[in-house]
Amino acid sequence: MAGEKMFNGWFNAPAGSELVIAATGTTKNKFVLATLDGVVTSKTGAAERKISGILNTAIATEERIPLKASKIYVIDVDLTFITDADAVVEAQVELSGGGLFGKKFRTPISRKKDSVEAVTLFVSVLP
Amino acid sequence: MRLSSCVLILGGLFFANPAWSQGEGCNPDETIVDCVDRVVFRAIPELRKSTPAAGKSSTAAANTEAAVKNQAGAAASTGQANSTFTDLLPWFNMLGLLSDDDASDGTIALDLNFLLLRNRKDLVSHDSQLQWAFNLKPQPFEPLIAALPEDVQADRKKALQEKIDDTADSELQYTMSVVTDGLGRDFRRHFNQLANLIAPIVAEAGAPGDNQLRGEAQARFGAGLQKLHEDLVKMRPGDADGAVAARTMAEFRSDEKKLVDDFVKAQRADVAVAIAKHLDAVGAAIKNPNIKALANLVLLQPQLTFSLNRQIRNELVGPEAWGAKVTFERSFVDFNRFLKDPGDECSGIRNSSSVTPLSLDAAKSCLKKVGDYVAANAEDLENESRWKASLEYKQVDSWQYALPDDGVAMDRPKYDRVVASAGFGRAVPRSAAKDRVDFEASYDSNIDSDDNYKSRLVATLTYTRRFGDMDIPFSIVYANKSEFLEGVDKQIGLHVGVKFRGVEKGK
Repeated sequence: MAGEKMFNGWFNAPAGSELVIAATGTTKNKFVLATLDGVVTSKTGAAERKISGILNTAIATEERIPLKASKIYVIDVDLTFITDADAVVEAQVELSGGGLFGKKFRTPISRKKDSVEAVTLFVSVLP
Repeated sequence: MRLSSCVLILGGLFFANPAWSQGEGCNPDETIVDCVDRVVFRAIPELRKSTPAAGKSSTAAANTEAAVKNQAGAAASTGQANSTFTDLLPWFNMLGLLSDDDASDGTIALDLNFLLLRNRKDLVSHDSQLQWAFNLKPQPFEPLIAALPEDVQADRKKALQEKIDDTADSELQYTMSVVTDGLGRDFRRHFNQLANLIAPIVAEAGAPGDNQLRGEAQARFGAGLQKLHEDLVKMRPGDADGAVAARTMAEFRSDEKKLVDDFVKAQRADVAVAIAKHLDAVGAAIKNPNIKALANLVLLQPQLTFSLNRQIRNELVGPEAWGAKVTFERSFVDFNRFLKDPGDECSGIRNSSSVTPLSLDAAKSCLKKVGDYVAANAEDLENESRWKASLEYKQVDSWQYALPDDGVAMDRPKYDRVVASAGFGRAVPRSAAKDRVDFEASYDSNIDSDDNYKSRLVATLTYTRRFGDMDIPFSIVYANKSEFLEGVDKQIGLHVGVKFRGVEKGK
């Protein structure tokens, strides 16, 4: 499974930036479901809210998560392969004034039907 | 056992350092993120009850590599340096241009979809394909051979065959499949419906409380990783922002590296285990046969396709032609028919353009409705019954060819044809495999009333015997007249072929 990454992190992103996540993989005859399952915590790890949602893997709709000061975001992108499929998960932290914080993350995940995988994203935000 | 022996054995075990423990430490060239990725998250498959299967891409790459090797080997063994069209096939495959790399039926198709403009819309409205298909065994035009004196036919055919190269008979094909709520076998159109039905099942998979535990593990992981980062920053106060994240393990001091190793080891036993447990639960949940049935119903939707084709031929192979065809095909069970009366439980997914999220209870009830629908139509599903109708217009160019030495001078005029076809097919269960019987009748009209061609009725009965990944179709073709005037009033032909089904082609 060369080229696959199952985790990426961004330390100390500026408050007000956004974590942007997208996934592809659903085609005419392939179906992969990508769901978000994450948590926002304080610096001490106290859970403050859950993050959930569905990423449209047919048209790669972007899910934009505003990043608030002094918070930590840990989000799993759960990939459920209903058929054989070639999924790609992309994520980046966009600065409020434009441009990227750190590097864009991209990982291809190809699996047979009935496989389930999770790609975990971590972002900590400056006070 | 003597004490010295015990020490030796324990020492041996210690230095043997089994593979799983070797993986727990960070490698010198890894950053913190790289190490967490490899040691914690890419170790999750080892912790799962069912390890997921790798995708086809690696297999495809291996096949390509093997194909290239075989090709290279073939060239080396024959000592030939000249390149033919088939020599290039492995390279077309590597470039992703090979749409159909199964040359067992004598054809190969290059995928030219990159030439089509494709917009990503919220709801896909059509699916277009552009292919260039090559007949890898082009033959001299049959009427030309038939016109030769019988005693020289074999020799002349052989001589003409040598003048025909691999690319002498090809067809450029454009196909457009209409995709609406009611037409088209396309997951993209129904993504929101399927996703909103399956997502609650995925989100709530597992024993009560498991998701809470996973959330807590995520929170511990996040706070722990941030604390590790802050501790490492504090250990070198003068460093620039981002220096810790960019540093490789080789650049950390041993006390710093120990902090990272301790963290990843702890998380391997915490968040990795929680995620592995969740993925196993989701894996079990999606084995629900109603989810598979739901996906299958989408792939049984009625289909309306338009196609245009242009035959590009060497004059020895026959006249060039172009054609247009419209085809409608439908099964007796499909997603449309299920959605006609899906019940209140499924009302949120009834329309693909206005899907509303389903609760877990609604999703479960709706999936049960899918199961009920499938059970009520089990026979039609099992039989894979479907019918189709098509109308085709074809224009064949004029064609002239002369072989003066044999007294042959052929001059065929341009002509038009309209072919109307209708067919029905169904599966015939035979132990674990499913054979198929398909019948098609078509009326091939001669709209120019040209004397060289006849209007005719053609009926084809095909029995396809399935052996594993191999299909062997037996066809009986009846035509009330020959296509060309050859003094034949009625024709009955028998065809036998072999087709290998690719992994993607499914059934």
